[in-house]
Amino acid sequence: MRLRIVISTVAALLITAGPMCAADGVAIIVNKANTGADGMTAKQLKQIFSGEKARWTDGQKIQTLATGVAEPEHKGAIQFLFGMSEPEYQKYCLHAVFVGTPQAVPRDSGASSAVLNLVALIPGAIGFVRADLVNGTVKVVKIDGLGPGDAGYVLAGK
Amino acid sequence: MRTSLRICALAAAFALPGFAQPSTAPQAISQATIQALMNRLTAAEARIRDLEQKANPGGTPTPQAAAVTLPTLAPAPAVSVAAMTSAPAVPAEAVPVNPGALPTVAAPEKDDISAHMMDIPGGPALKIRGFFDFNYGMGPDANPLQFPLGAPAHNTFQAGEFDLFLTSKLSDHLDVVGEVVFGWDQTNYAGIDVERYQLTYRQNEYFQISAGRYHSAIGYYNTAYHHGTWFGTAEGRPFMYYYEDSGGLLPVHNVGITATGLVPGIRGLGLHWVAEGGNGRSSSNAGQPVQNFLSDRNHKSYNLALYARPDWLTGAQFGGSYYRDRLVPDGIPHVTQTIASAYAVYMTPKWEFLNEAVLLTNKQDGMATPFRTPLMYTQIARGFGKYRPYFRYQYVNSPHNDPINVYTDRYQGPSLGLRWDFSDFAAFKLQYNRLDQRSGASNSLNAQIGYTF
Repeated sequence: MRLRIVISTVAALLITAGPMCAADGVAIIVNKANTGADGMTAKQLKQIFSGEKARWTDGQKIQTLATGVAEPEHKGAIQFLFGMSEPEYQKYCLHAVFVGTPQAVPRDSGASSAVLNLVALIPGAIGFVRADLVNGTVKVVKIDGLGPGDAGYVLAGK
Repeated sequence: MRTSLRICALAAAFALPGFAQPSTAPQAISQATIQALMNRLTAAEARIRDLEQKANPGGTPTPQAAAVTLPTLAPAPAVSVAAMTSAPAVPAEAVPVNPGALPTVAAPEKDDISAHMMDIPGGPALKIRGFFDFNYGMGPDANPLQFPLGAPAHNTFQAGEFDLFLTSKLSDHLDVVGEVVFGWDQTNYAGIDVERYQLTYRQNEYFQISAGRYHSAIGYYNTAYHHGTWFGTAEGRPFMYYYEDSGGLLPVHNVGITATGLVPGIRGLGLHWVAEGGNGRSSSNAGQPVQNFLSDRNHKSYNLALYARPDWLTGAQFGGSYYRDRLVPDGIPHVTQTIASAYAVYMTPKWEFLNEAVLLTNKQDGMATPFRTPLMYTQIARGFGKYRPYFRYQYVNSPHNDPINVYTDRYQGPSLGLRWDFSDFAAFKLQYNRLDQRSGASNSLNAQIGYTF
């Protein structure tokens, strides 16, 4: 019985982690109407997610979105965007609220599908999701000229 | 013609029902399927009862397991939650259920407080987070909260600050933060302080304004770290930022209005402004130094600050501030207090390098020479996974005849420590301090557990 549970759990984990590992990693996405996010550098992206840059070049307010900690792409994206492990990031988020700078933290939007839908709906939104979930409702941002699937892409899957 | 009309009418008669039922309508679930599902549910519940019986042999079955008995399925009975709890709403003939088999629900008492809704749908929700630190100190200056202690020090287990941090968002632009701290001192009695209460309006990144009690934007540390000791790498604040009621010299708290924002149009520099006006510190050292309710003068303190977070050096922050107040102590000439600060800070997840200097000046009316107190510290730390060794050196030199300062001595020396984050939300810190004063030198060792909950 225990063996069966272990096998089922491992199988479930493999199925869940599969797309993240096998496919194209994490995609940074913006609203389709956004023209200010074309061709961003990794540094610019990090500044946006940490709240240091608050507006797009056309003056529109940036709304940063993150998936919940349970989503498989969260860990890799946070490591890239903030240079932090999950516990460090949790502490960072808490500290931002504590000192009155909540804009330094992307809004936790839960499931990947929620981030996808919100980015499609909010003109100034930017978020990250698993690349294999991206559909035509959003625009994928190239980082240093590379996108998901390109060799050398910084957020490529394993 | 009549024949063709009849054909059309006939065709319409056959077509309309089909038209009225869209092709995408869900397929009707057969009675047999529903019965099969109900049977499976009944079997599952029987199994739960068995398991509960095994887990609690001889005990009475739980009310849910005992009471719920599925009725035999009547044709399409619509049973809602409301119907389950409100007997008159269920027609007896529609649901042939034995009334004794239904779960019994006690009618709420009229004075039952839980029957009242505290939630405001779509309204503000109060969030609370707690912080606490517990210490063991050896040596006269081991405690991380208060200096001088005002009593002979012994090796002591020591409660730190029990801090309840509260937030609530009132609207897209308005939010509230509060911080209620229970703290103990050398009398061993606990005191309660509402250390922060701020209502903040955020228009955009260029302008936000808060009213209430806040941490003054003097230097860096005072606004970067508040009362949750767990956040700070070291076991306590630098001595120059000790709280007013714990021996601190600076007005780290103020009651009034603080506004801040980004300076527009300066690309790449990340220049921010801060402007504050408040009651300032009490003119007297007796009693509460923060003037929460009654100011002892009409004059208000003001503080102006600028800081930059340049794009070209992520993690760096440079800034300075200028504070001015007018104090009216009893029995001596009035005092103009000015505080100038400058700092350079570099903070990344791995590195922490803090450098701050403040000059506190108390100038008494009619005296040519003001009393000047230089305050400074430098702190460096580096993270190695869950471990973070750190070093701090601090220097404060308060003139012995200063008319305002609580502490009038020299406080100078290094601290060496190690922080170990043994859990994601708890840290152990061990810190050695060497302190040189005019009266002599001392050594101390303090161990601390700081956590959030």
